[in-house]
Amino acid sequence: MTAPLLEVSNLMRSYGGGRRLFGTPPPVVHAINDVSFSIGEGETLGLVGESGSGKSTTGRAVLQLEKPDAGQVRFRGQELTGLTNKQLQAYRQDMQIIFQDPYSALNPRMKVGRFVGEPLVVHGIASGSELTDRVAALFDLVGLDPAFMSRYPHEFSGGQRQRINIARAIALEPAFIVADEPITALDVSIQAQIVNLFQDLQDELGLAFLFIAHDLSMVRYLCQRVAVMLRGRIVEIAPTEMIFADPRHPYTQSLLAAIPVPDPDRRKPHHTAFDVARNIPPREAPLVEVSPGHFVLEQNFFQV
Amino acid sequence: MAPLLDIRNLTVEFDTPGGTVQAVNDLSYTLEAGETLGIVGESGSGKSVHILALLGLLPQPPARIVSGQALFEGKDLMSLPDRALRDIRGGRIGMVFQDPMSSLNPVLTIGRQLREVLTRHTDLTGVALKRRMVELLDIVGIPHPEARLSQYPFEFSGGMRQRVMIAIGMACNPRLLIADEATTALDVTVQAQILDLVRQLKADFDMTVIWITHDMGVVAELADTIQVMYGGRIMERGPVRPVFRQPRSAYTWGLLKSLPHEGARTQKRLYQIPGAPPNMAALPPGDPFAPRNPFATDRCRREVPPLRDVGSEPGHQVAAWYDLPALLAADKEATP
Repeated sequence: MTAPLLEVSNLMRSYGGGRRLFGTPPPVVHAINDVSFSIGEGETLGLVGESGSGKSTTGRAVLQLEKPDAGQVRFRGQELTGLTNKQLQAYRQDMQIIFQDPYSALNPRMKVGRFVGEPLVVHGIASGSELTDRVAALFDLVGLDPAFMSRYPHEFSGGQRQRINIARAIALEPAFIVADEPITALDVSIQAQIVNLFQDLQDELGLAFLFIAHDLSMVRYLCQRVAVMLRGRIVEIAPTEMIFADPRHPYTQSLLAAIPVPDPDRRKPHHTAFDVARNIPPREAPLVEVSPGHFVLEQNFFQV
Repeated sequence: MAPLLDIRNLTVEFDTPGGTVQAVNDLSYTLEAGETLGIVGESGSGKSVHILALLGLLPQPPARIVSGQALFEGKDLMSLPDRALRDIRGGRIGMVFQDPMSSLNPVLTIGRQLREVLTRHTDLTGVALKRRMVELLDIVGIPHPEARLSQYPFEFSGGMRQRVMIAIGMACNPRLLIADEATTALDVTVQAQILDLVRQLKADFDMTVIWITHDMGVVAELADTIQVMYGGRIMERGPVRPVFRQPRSAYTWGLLKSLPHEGARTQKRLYQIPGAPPNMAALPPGDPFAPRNPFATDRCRREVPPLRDVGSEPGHQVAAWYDLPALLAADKEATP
């Protein structure tokens, strides 16, 4: 078996604590706790969970946009956690991120052509007419008219803005992209367009994605595997259809039961509430493999 | 019996530097007492603006109410003086908006904000007032309601804050509860509980509900009637079953078709509605959806279609010049 593209092991990141000149130190919050997963070349891993579960922190810690407190991130076998910013620059070409809000990610005073081409300039890859040609090709690739290059962000709709962000993210021909809720802020009729674009880019460029989302029906469509997070821990990870057919962790079960079904004939009776406060995953509980590739956090950890 | 709410020929415009935005165009519909209406639409559909207009919450200028009536319990909200309208808002009509953090005052306790609504619209005082406040938080499923009354909004989670908003919205036993994207910002598990809660409240208090959302799943779970809006107009409207089973508007059809199927890993590509939402300052002359509609005819591009009855179920209406089921059947035959 070939080594995975990305291998994350025992990643930790906490906020708060430390010492203050005045007053008591803020409480320590373990934003992510002992998070491990891997992503193969060209694979899409979905990452779902409630707000505050640590999904975004995981995405940022993987890219070293935020230094993890402990744990390893190996990209093509190379350990990234100990590297300086200068050393990391080479890897930044291969790893990119797309954010939820397509407008605040753009610079309102920069023409979008320059915005998309900026990574090529920063990494000294292209300049002059070659740069213009490459940016035009990127616009084509994401379904935008290259004639729009000299316009400003406010002239575009939400879906077009997200296409601009995607064009910039793929400018350096990365192998891996963290997509942090990339369709949540878009109109419904536009979401399918952007999801299809992700699929096309994956087919054409062989990209791997960490797709952070709370829309489980989209995750089911787009991702080969899904990881479910609860309060900083991965409580279940498995191939997508296995998660949907046989959810084992009670949180995964309540998450799936809560998806509203667009069919009036299949209205659900009462939902049972999942009490997060009573079900905070124990910090030391291990992930147990229940069937090939399907891991669940051991639930009766304290009773065992 | 007269409907609870009867909106007639409502037209709202905004004056902007980029031209006149036609936000709501000759909108008419009725809502029966006890009915739950789910309104679906995306940005620029007029779904929120028309509600703000009839509640007197649109700043004028830039907004301009060009024409229209909104009869609520026989009174025209559009011609009511501000004072009378203030009595209705929060009283006979309760409202819940999308963002619970910006709708609540961060420096006042939850109890203070609940009390404000109750003293304005009811005669409750003293012990009875306190009892009612505790009861309200209890109804919406907030644990330890008595202790929670003296807490501030930041001490509540997002879902709990939205429950507080619902408690405030229904504090005075409204005849009509209007919720605008009330669960959009919430986690799906919390959303499911809120939807359960609204269903329960409907059953217990015979409430009439307008639920504005962009999520077809939420409408299917909650509504009796669905109303699909686009470009400030109603594209389709009717009881949820026939509309979901056999949509008559190409827009409704596109919205439903673009959702991923269940067991979707076998699905190669999602159906996508082409194009982008309309520029409301430069709407096309005919059917606003025509530029994105693969089934559009010349007439669609020229002339606005009126809302007309379709199908066998009473109340199912569509604004379209074309016959969608026939076109889809012909399409199927052409590409087996």
